[in-house]
Amino acid sequence: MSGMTPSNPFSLTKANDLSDDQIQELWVDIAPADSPDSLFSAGRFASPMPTFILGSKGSGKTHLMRYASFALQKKRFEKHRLGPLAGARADGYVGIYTLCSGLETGRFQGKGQSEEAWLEVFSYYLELSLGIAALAVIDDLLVEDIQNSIELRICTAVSRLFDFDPPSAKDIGSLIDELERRRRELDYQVNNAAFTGELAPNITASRGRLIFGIPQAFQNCSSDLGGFLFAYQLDELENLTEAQQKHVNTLVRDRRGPATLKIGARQFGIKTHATMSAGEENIRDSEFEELRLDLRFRRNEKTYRDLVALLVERRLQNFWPQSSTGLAGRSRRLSDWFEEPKRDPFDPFFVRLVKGVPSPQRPHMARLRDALADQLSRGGVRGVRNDQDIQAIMSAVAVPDAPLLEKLNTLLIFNAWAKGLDLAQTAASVRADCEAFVSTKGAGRYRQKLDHYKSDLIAQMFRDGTFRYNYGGLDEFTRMSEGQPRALITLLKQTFDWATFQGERPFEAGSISLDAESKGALAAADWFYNNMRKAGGEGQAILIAIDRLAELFRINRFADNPIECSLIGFSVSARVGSETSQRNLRLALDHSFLVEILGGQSERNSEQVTGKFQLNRMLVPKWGLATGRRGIKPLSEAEMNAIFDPRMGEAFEKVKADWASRMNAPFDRARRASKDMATRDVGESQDDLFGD
Amino acid sequence: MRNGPHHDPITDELQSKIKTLHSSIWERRADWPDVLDWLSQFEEHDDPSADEQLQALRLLSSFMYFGVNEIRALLRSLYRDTFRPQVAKEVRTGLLPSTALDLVGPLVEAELRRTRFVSLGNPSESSALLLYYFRQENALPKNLFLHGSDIFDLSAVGSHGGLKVQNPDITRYVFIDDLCGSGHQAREYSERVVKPLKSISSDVKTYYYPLFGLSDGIEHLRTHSAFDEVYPVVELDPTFRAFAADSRLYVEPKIATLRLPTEATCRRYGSELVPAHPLGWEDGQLYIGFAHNTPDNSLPIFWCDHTGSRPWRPIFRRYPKVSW
Repeated sequence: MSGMTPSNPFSLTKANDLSDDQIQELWVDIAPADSPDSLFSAGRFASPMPTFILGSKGSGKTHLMRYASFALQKKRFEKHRLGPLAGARADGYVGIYTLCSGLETGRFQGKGQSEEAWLEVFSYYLELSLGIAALAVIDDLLVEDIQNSIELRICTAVSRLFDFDPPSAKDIGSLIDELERRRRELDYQVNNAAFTGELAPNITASRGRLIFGIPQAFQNCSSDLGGFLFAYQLDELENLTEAQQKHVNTLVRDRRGPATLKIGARQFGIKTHATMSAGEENIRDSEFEELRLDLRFRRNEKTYRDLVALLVERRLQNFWPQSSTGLAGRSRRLSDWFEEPKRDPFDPFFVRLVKGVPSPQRPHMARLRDALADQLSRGGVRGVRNDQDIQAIMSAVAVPDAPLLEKLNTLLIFNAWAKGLDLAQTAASVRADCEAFVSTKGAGRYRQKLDHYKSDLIAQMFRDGTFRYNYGGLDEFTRMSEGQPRALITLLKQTFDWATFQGERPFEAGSISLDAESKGALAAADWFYNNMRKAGGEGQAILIAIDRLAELFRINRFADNPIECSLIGFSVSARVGSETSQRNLRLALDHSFLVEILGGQSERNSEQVTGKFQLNRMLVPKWGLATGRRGIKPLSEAEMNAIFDPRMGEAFEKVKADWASRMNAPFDRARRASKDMATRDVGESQDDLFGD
Repeated sequence: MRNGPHHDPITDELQSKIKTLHSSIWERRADWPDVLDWLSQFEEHDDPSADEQLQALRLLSSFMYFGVNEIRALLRSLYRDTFRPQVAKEVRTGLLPSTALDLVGPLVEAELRRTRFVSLGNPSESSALLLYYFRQENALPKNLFLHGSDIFDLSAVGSHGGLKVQNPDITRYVFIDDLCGSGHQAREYSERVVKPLKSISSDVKTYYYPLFGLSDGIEHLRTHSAFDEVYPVVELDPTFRAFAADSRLYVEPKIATLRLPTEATCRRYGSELVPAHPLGWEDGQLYIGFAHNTPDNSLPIFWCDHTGSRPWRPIFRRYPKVSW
């Protein structure tokens, strides 16, 4: 494809960097293009209703819009032996793709000119730019036999759209030349305004006259030319100022004739829905529709999984022909190329993880024994009065052949200790439950606890053994990418690099090792995290907040008695927190460091609506956290401020100490803390491990 | 071995650095299996400060490799920033201060046409390859290049006359080399070629321009050779010696204590590989390599390819000068 032989099939991650051919070749959809379920249909390019295509960075907006553009449509028409007009009629539209960043909109401000003047100039500039783009498409649509008969008519009709100095061109090429000349003249004035102190443009057409008038003029020329829309596709709208967006909103509101707008933007890049039409705001589903790409993927995990599998296959077909994978003639499932982390408690891997030593010498057993012995010298704990009691507990929880179960047993003892229960009785009950599970492997409360806490327990065992925690498997990577295809491509890019560096042959032979996958995941997390450093002061505030949040989640993950399992999420009331902390929470969401958990919940004991958020799972390898979210920790106002306000370093240290004390033996502050600062939190968070 | 799931933050960091180097400036010359194979020749130890493999890995992560692109860029710099300005300076010194700039240009061009660039040593050696790149990068005509033996006209030697220069119109000879270590080899060359040249043609100017030069070696040549000008494109001061007291590899207090144990390790293996020069030719202690070869001034643990009593697999192989 395009004569390229990259050393990594995932090296190209941005749609902007792809050629038209690559956009076409790499496009994948979840359903046929004419099916209402397809991504392509969701863009509603042939619908007159304007559409905002929203999504976070890397969610696939640009790829979708470029795929729908006329440059790519033409390629498909050729493939299907359709003439351009017949093709346009079949598709129902022609896509006129424009990148807002290409307009260099930053030029249209300051330089001693009023905001109103700049807005008029920008409006005219956009008019000329989109007019030129529409005429270029018309030029392509008109095949020779009809071109001669109607070209002059189109030019005459277009010249009537001008308020002043109508172009006298006789053919479309000359008309485009004339409009480009006017745009260059405007460029010259705009670029030199800072030096000349003057801005005296010759605005020859009113707002919307060319954008909506040219398609109408074209279709009025002959009945053969109708039957489809001109869809202006404005990508990266976030690059426009609020005033400029207001102008675009006005075009959305005033849309007329056979033309519409399809607007791509970052989810939080829409600064306003206001228009210049008497201050009216555009209303969703009234003036425009909205497609939220990553939300669509996150709502439907199965769809997203299918999509990314197709996407990876397509990459391999195009960029890695040496791969024996590929939809046809492949004997392996895509996911089989990825080594999966071990999760079965009876896997001998866990005996190796504790270096094969007998139960009493294992770190988790030593930790429980030492904690109990320590407490004995300070008066003991319920059910533990002497060394024999400790020894009895240690014998009860030991599982020599299944260290992961043994580890769970120690956690259950710590949990009972935190709740003030009798540990001797708990140990007997744990032993009975464990034995029943070992013999039947059946479902039940023990199995449930294992499933809930497995990720945290394994993470603790890895840390005890000074092993690197593993991330891997296509499913886990898909989950980590949070509905952003580019995030998945980045994970695979880094993993592929690591695998080849370590002498593996990804997608050719063997499987990609967990080691390479884990290093790839960490490199992708670092890349994601370090990108934020470039975002200046705002970026710094986000990083501080995210570091703090992750630090707390780590305390929980590696605690004797984690208050929540696989904790990477939190909930907080919309009314809680200082202005600064609320602002930083929003910023972290804007930049996708935090992801909103779908379906905001009511607090368990109140009617108050709260927001639920989680760390973007792309980031979690940085701190060895879980990718499968289970628990959600409600944050108190004090915790919210300590995390999200960078100036609250001291308060944050207190929160940390509080979390550590509540979750680790001897659990001294567990009850006191509940009175001090998050009364409701502690009571709810101390899961009753056996309270089904 | 360092290839398990064992999590050692230092090894991870070094491995990550080597991966970046491997896929960028090392031109994919040392992937991880190669590195592991090389490391396996050192002893592993639980105590990080005594772990030879960790010492070697750390040294390797500092290895300075100059690929073809970098060498070509240095050769452009040699001509553009070193030699040409030197000629211009000399031309201007011979003119009145009031001479207009537009007169200087043509004079410099005329002088350049009377210059010859000369490779050191045998035509099959690296210096000849450097001259090939040098000519391409600076768009110079072929006739400006010579081999050392072509400087002289030997036709009359032994009959009625003595040694003569081949082309008496030549005013400048430029000798180009990749690395000047101790300076002893260049000095030897100066005795063999430059001194006789100056004795029969005292007005010609001679220049020795290595791409890299250790400060001591450069100073040695300036004081003990017949070259008029000695100037490296990149001068390596003594801190570039791996185990110098002020070595730039061990500046961080956390790793400063590793300098002496690492030196002892390199010396121990080096003594078996190159007994006369365990830390590189004339105690070079360098960690530098080029796309075309690794100089013997670098530590032998990097380049030595031994099949004898002490087999050794190098990580940046040196292609030795074979004697028949």
